Amino acid sequence: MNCAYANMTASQQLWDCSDEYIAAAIHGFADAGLRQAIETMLFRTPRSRIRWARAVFVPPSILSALARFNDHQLNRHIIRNGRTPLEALRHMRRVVTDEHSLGGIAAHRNASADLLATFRASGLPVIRFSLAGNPSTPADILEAIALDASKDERRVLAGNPGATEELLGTLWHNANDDEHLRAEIAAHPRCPDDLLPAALGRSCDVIRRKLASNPSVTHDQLIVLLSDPVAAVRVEAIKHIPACDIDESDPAASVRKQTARRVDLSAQLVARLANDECAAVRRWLARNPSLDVEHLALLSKDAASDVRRSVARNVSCPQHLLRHLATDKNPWVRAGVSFRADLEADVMRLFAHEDDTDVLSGIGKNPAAPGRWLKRIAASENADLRRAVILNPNAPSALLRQLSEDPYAFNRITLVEQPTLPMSTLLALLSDPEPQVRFMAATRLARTGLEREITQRSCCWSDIDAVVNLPRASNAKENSYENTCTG
Amino acid sequence: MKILVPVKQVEILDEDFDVQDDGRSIDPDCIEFELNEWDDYSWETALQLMEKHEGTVEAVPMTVGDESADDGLRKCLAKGGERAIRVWDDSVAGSDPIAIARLIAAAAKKEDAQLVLAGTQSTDQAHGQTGIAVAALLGWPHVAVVSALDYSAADGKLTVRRELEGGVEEEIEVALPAVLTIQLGINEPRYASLRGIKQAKTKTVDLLSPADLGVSTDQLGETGSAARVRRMYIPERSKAELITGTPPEQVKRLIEIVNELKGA
Repeated sequence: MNCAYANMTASQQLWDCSDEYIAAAIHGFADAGLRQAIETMLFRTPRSRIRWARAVFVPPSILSALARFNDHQLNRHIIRNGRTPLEALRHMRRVVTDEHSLGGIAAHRNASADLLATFRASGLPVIRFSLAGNPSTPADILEAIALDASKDERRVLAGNPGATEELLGTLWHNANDDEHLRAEIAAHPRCPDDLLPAALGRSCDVIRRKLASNPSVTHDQLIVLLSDPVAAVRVEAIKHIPACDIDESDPAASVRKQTARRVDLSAQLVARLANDECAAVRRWLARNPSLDVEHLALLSKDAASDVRRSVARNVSCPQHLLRHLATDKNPWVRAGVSFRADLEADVMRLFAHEDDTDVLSGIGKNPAAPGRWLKRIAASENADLRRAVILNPNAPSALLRQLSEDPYAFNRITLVEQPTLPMSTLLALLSDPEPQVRFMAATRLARTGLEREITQRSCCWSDIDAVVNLPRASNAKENSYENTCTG
Repeated sequence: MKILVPVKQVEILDEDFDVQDDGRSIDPDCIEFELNEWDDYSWETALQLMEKHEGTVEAVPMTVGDESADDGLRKCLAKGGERAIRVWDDSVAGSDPIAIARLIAAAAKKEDAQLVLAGTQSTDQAHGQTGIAVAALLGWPHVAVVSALDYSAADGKLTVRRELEGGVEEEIEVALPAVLTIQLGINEPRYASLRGIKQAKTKTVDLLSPADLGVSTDQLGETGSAARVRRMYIPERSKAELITGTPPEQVKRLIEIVNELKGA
């Protein structure tokens, strides 16, 4: 054992791999010296710098480092990247001058109120529009834009969560014939109280629909909206109104569907909806967790397979109904049962000879599934079925190790995030041919403290590497690494 | 039978890119490369033939490109095959599809290939010319946009199927040697196993120059190309407008727009 190596930090040991994706993953966790070395490796050429600047997964620390290059082309990519942190945006604000880039900063979700305030005096349309839509823009700037806002700017302002009551009132009164602007205002949680009745009386149904979706609407207004001639308005209203006010026989199936999702339905309403002529209504009712056993039993015999499937997926469905549905002639219904983690052993056994893909997918993900079944599914030629086992929280370590060799890269990417993945398998994934797998494995290791894992065991990277890459052997050293990396 | 499969690393552009100062190409810093989608299918077709006629069929991927093009060949070799060919020297830069076809045709002769399986087109340039030009240069029969293929080793003939307009399918018998261009969906390309990816790193990629293939430099590059790019630019985008209001108002605005476009 190389003792000097054993004393190195986790980041330094990962860095020794000389892999740029691993280097990128640990950049944010590294000390200043190591960061400098990583940046030298990653930012060698203009091409590589652009590649990192536009990567959607790149750590914010790398974007901050890239911001220091002050390259016009590179800056555009940094500004467009949604992960660029505030400090880098501040730097961009100081160095960029073109309209497009400034507009990008003003629209950026990580821009703070004080940074956006620096655009206060700008009259450029692209910046005004960006500010109007950014939830972090200070209210006084939004109000200043509203004074001479264009039609498009007014609509964006009305949808901004930071818009004040005063601003929304001003926009409403100056809306002229723009009913879509009024609709945005009617939906806003800060819509002034005195505008709600005005919105209720508008002939445009988009305004009334948006109003019905507003949580600030009063009970009396909801009652009126529930009688609206337009079904889409009633659908929104029925989400917020007390169940006792719901009309039992709405002519529109879309409204009855929404009703069936309510968890506070009266017995009378449940009985009516359980016999609704529209299968989609019965399907939503069958999925309703507040449904009583009697009606679950009724719907478990429904002619429509989607309804029976919903019963199987209902968290309140009792075991005796699941036992019945596990032998349903429709595999989509059986698949609904197979996903359930609460299946009793005798129900689970009903799936012993299943070969339907959907059902096997459910079994593969089911933490109650026997290990030998998971082994069979993990050996499937179907990549989606193998992934089901990866997603199983109780998948045995040996299977996860086997699946780390899965030819489908997305399965290995999914495996990296498996909470019970053995440490040795996670380390092996650092050598994966797929860059995204290596990046994610290194990120997870850095995040969960590889340093602690290594130093507590007084070992070094080369030891781990040997354990990971050699054929599995039953020795004490291996066992010491078969701890799960739940961090 | 030896099958030569020309593959290409195609350019992938980000949403935001720059045209070079010469106005004829994209700034290479804004370009990523990946294996042409059609070539994934043609290589899978070759691998399936090789597996079905084990020991009598050999498939070799080839590409024309600098060393960065090795990535595409390694991706092919990770799935199967023992060796690959890359053709390059500086004289090849700027070649059009016909000049590239000269190199592929020469490689087919040198390898004594009986079948060339090319992709129908490339995702970046979409000329759809290279495979057909190879057939013309070799004087071999060709079938384009092949959606199914069967090979009879006994009589050395291929039976291929093409999808035509209106759902009509055409079945054609072709004698070897021949060139086929393969359509997407002819098969389901496999994923390379991890073992295959590791092994591909150690497989042979023969680097050949045009001279090795007997192709003179005046047949390559811009000099040897019949077509040259005059200008590359981003066309001005027209502005979209969301037409709102009541139906009569929307109709009124629509008529205004139509009249504006007509110049009325």
